[in-house]
Amino acid sequence: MSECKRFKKLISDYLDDELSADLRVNFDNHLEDCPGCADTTSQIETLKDELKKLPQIQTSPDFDTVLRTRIRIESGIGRRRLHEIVWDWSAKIPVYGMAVALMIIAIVAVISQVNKPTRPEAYPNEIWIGGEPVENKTPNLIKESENYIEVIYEIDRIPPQNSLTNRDSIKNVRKDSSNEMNTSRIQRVNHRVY
Amino acid sequence: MGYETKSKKPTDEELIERFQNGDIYAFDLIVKRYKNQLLNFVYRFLGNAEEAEDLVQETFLRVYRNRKAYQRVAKFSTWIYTIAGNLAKTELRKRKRRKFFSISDLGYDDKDYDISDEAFNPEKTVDGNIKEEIIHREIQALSPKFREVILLRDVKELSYEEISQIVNIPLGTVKSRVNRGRLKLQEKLRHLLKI
Repeated sequence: MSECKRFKKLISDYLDDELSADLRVNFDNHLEDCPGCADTTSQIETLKDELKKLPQIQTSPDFDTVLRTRIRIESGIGRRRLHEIVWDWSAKIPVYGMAVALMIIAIVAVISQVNKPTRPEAYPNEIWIGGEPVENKTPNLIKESENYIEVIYEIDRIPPQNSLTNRDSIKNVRKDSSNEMNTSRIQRVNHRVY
Repeated sequence: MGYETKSKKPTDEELIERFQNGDIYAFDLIVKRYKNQLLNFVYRFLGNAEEAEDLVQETFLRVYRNRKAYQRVAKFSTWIYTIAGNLAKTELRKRKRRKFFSISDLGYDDKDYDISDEAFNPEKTVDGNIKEEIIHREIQALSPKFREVILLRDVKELSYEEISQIVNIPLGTVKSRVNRGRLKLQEKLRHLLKI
């Protein structure tokens, strides 16, 4: 039995003439004595013949045409790739340029908005303190003199366009005839900065 | 000049060299020479003629695309069968994944193993068609590693050395696989082979 197992491993070598002369003789001797191995060997020989005889199929009639088309398409794609890269970039440059220009314009607009004087242009002489007109602020101190009312504000922030320095300042507001301060008078303020 | 004649038939290696040097006609000759050989190998490997033809097309496309990669140290047939074999194995792996993810898929094996009604016609004797169907079915039932070497050896009749290069396994392993594959087939086809 173990001998059959050993010879079964050699069946293909035997049938394919791959065995040495000695082994071939041994194999032949075994086949004479073992009908089982002889039967298996014979069937494998038949199997080999049957496999060789399997019908051959043919490619479809349009095989060559399809292949040529596929090659042409692929070659076309290969050429177009480079062309497309160049075209894409050349096409995109104006787009990108315009996008960058718009972005710059937007940034400039935003920056100019941020830095825009909060002071309305219509009232160039109006005093603004801490981002709002002075009339909205509550004075910290009011001192009356002969010709002026001295109004003192504590300023937290000085608008850029304002000539005031970043420190507390005193506004001298001209005292009008009714000895009251109003909005119109504020525009005529004679302010001094200490 | 340029025509494949019986008197002076260029070798595969000469053709691919001509193709490498820009002779497109040499590529056409390679296609003519190999298309049916490859088709039958891939068809028996995958079990589906339509898929096999697509895959052979893809094989030639790869030869076209990678013609410069071929070096004359190997036989051209080894190179082209390696490409086709790898594509076929990849296709089998894809099928396995598709089968795994599709609960409704009965599997290509089930479909491809169907023997046509014609084959079961009682008036028809047990002739070659049925035998071929059964053999084809049993080839498909082999695991791919046995199927590939059996097809290369017994259907395409390539040498063990060449199969060893195509499959990229040692010569001894090829011989062992061929023998085991044949024994498996013989076991399955025992009754058929006795007729």
